[in-house]
Amino acid sequence: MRETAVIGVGMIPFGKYPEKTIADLGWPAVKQALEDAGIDGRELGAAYCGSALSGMMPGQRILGRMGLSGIPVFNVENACSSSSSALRAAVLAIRSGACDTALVIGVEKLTRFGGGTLPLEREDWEVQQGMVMPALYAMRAKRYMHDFGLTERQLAQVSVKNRANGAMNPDAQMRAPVTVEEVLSSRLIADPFTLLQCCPTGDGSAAIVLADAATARRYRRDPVFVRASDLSSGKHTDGFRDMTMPEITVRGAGHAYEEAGIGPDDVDLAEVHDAFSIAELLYYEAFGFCGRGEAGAFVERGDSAIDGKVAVNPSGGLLAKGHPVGATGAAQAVEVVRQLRGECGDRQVEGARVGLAHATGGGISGFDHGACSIHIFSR
Amino acid sequence: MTIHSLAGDAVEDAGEGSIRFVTGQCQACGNRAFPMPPICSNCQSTDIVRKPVEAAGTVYSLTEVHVGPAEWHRPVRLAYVDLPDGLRVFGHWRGSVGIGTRVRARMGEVGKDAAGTHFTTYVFEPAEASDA
Repeated sequence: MRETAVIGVGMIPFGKYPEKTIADLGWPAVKQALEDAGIDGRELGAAYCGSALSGMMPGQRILGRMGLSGIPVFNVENACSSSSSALRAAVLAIRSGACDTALVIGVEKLTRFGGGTLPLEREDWEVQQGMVMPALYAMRAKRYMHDFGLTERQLAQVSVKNRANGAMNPDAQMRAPVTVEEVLSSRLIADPFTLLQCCPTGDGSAAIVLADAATARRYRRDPVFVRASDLSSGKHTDGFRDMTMPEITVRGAGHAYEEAGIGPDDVDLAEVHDAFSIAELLYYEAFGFCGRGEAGAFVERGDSAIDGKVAVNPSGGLLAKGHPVGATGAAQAVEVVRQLRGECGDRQVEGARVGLAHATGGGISGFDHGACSIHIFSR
Repeated sequence: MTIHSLAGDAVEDAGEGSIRFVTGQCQACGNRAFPMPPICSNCQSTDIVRKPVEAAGTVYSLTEVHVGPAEWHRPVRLAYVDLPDGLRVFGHWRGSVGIGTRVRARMGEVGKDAAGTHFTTYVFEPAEASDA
C-alpha cells in the first residue's frame, strides 16, 4: 500500500455569498490548493468533490469553470461528512495506485435555502414528525447534563474557546470573541442551546491535493502524510441508544488510532465536529482525550485550548469557522495541514506534530449519526 | 377546517381519546420496530406482523425548539421516549415533563401550514394527567 501525502491545501473564508454559484465558490479554493502544491492542474489524476446539498455534479461545475475538465470526477454525498468521505475515497485511490495525484473538494452554499435550520430529508419518519438538527443535539446535551452534572457555563465555555480561536483565523465566519455571559444571554434556540452554541449557516469551499509519497517529494520537501483514513457508518437501531456516547466516533477513532499506530496522548491538535457546543465535549471523550463524564471539567481547565493538553478546534471549529456542511471535512483537513506546517500565526499550536480531523453526518431516523470520517496526519 | 394526521397508520384509536402505537414484530427474529416496517432492520425478513402497543413510556431526553420550519407551533417540544418493550419513539410532548417522566401519548395539534391545514400527531403528556 502506497503512503499518501498532502501537497497542497486551499480554502475561501467561510461566510455568506448568496450571489455566488457553486462553481464560483469552488474554484478559488482549488486554485489556491494547486498553487500551494506547485502543481499544474492538468497533472491531476482524479477529483473527489464532497457536497450535501449542491444538486448534480458540483465537481464538474467547479472544474469546468476553471478548465480542468476531462479527468475522472466522483461527487460524494454523506451529509456533513461529504468532503471528509471524498478525502477518504481519494486516499484509497492514491494508495491503490489508481492515480498518483488526486484533488479533493468540499463545497456548499447554505444561503440558497434562505437561512434557518439545515433542510433534512422529508421522507424520513422523524423529520416528518418535526426533527431538526438543533433538537437532536439538544437532546444529547440534556441527557448528558442529567447523567454527568455538566453545567450550562461549562457548555458555554466551548463556544467561548472556539470563538476566541476563530478570532485569530482569517478564514473564519465568526471573528468576534465572546464571553460566557454573552453566550448564555444570547437567544434561546433549542434548550439548552443559545444562539452562540450553534454553528452559523453559510457558504464555503476547501480543497486538498494528494499524492503518493514519491510523487509528493517531487512537489515539496515538507509534505504532510495521511497516517490514517477511516470512514464508518452508523448502526441502525429501533431501540435504546446512549446519546451521551457517540458510538460511531468511538468506533472510528479506534480504527484510526490503530491504523496510525498512535493513541490519544499523541494527538497535538484535533479538528472535531462541533456543530453544537455539546458535540465537542462528547468528542473529547470519544477520542479518549479525557474520561467519561469529565469533558466539562476538561474544557473549563483549558485542557482543550490552543496551549492545552490537546488543542481542539484551533481553527475556531464549526462554531466559529462556520459549517457549510459539505465543505467542512475538507476545511478541517486544510487547518490540520497548515498547523502541522506551522503556518497558523497567532493560533499556531506550538510544536504540532500529529493532528486529526473528524466530521460526522447525521439527521436520519434510527441512527445516532449516519456517517463519520476521521483522518490522522503527521509530518 | 382541514386536519391532516402526521402519524398516519402508525397509531390506532384505542377509544375514549386514547391511542396505541402500531409497531411491527419480525416473525423470524423477533425484532421490533416503530413505525411498522416492510422489512426487518435486523434480519431482512419480510414476515412482519402488526403489533399495537400501549402508547406509553419514559422520557429519555427532551428539548424545546424555537427555530425550524414555520409550520410547527412554537416552541416545538420534542422528546425521545423509551417504551417498556425496548422501542424508542421520537415525538412531541406537552405538560410538565422531564427526563424520566412516565408519559402517555394522545393525538394533538402540533402545527398549521400556510394553506390553513392543521397538523396532528401523537403527543406525549404526563401519564397521570391523561389517566385522570
